[in-house]
Amino acid sequence: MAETASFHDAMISNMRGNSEALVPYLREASDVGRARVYQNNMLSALGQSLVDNYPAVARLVGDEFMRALARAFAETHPSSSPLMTAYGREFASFIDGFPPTQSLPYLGDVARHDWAFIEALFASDEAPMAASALQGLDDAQIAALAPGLHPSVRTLKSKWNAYEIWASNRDEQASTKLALKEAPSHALIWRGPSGITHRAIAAPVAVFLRAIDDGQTLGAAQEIAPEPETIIFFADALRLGVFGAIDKTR
Amino acid sequence: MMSHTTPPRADIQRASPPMGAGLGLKPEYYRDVLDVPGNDLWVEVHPENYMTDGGPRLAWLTAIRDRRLLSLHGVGLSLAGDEAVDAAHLARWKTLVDRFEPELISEHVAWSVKDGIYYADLLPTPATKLAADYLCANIDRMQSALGRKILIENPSLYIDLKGDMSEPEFLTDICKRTGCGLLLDVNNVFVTANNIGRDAKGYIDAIPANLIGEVHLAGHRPDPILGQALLIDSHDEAINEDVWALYDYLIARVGPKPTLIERDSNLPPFKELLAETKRAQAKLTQSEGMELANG
Repeated sequence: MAETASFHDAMISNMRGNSEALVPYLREASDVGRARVYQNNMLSALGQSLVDNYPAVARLVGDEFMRALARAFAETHPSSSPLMTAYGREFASFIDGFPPTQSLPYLGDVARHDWAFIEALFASDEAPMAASALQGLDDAQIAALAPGLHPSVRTLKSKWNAYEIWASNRDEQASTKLALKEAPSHALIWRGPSGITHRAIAAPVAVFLRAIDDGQTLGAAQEIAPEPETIIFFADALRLGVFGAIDKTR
Repeated sequence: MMSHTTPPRADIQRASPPMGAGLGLKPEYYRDVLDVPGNDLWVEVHPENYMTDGGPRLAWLTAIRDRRLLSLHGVGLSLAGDEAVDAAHLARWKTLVDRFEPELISEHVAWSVKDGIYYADLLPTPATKLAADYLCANIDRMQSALGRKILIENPSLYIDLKGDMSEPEFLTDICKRTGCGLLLDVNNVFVTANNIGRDAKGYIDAIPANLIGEVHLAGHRPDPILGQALLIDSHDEAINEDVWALYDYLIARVGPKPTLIERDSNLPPFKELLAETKRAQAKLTQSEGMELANG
């Protein structure tokens, strides 16, 4: 078994930058310089996945910086899966700790919004709670429901106005220049009846949604966050499709 | 070595409708592909891009598959690895095959996984007896798990590895032992011939025609440092005229085979890809006509 096993080990060395390990397996030792193509292909494939999965980050920092940032991440974060839709989960925390991005303190949070978008996009297709599910129920019965959230729902918080910055950098259209504010922001990203949807939410709504996500009843979650914003949000929530289908939670 | 049965070749292409020229399906082209008149245009996708819990990609593929024949062409199973293919990845494959019932299923004569790390490229294997054993065992695992015969694609090589046999001998041996067929990528034949000094036509002459279940055509580009001496199988350019000429040579020898136009990046307007598909279809139609004329 040694022959091919050691070839595979030699190629792995090459993927880490040591092409010389391949020399015993080459017909022409002088070809060794070409073996860098494999490592380059890998790093550009991983880097391209990050560009695809983090478009707002890429737009904020520009193509050239994004390529360098993506390469620095790819060099230190091998993929554990052949699914490139799942590559880069740790990119936001990498950005938080990456010295060259320290002048952009909100960038990690913007990346968290991009990742929430990816997760929402590929979440399971199950139907959200429908208004018809509440027909015939009285207020007490509705308050006793614990629907959980639709699998696509992601809530985000930032100490900066990261949601506003993220949202204005998602599309190709030129955005108005936004001032960075140290003002906490909360956002909701999910796949609703009309596709991926996002909006800023008030802090009490974030508390309410986290309680629902934790399995609390609608009544208990409203008691935890009894502010008007929560009541207004709840009135709209069935149309938005953010709650789980209740028959599945029973 | 485990025993391999050789089932009838008709198994490889599951359904009987004839497949002419097809197109690699990218999300940017979903609407255009759905709207192409008729249902002759078939499509191929990388299953890895559809291994999600849900979402719009799966919905689009469902809508397109309703009208078109489908091929699943894997890039991440790592058949030529020195370890068994990942059972979890194979299970995801099985879910997609059960859901979409593709006409064709293929993977690469390459590897990308070792010890739980995915190396995001199609890494080469030497053409040795031991490497053939590894490949056969993994092809058996894939075919058993899916309950289907697969096609394996010849690689693009950037380095010339020592081996016990020629690549056509290596591939033919594996097909005979596992009952799988070949996906012959003409661009890969061209690129490899250029890169390691191999005769492209001689390579095609050495492949048994009855093993070929699908053909790929794609673009390549010169390496930024070494230029024409090292061609990269980049799938980001129009198909090169020399590759079209080699395709003519192939179908003159083996007859019409389902042919896919692959383009993975630097995506052009849809009509440019459709024009390449039509060019391939015209060659296939002409080849069919000649086969009929010759009885």
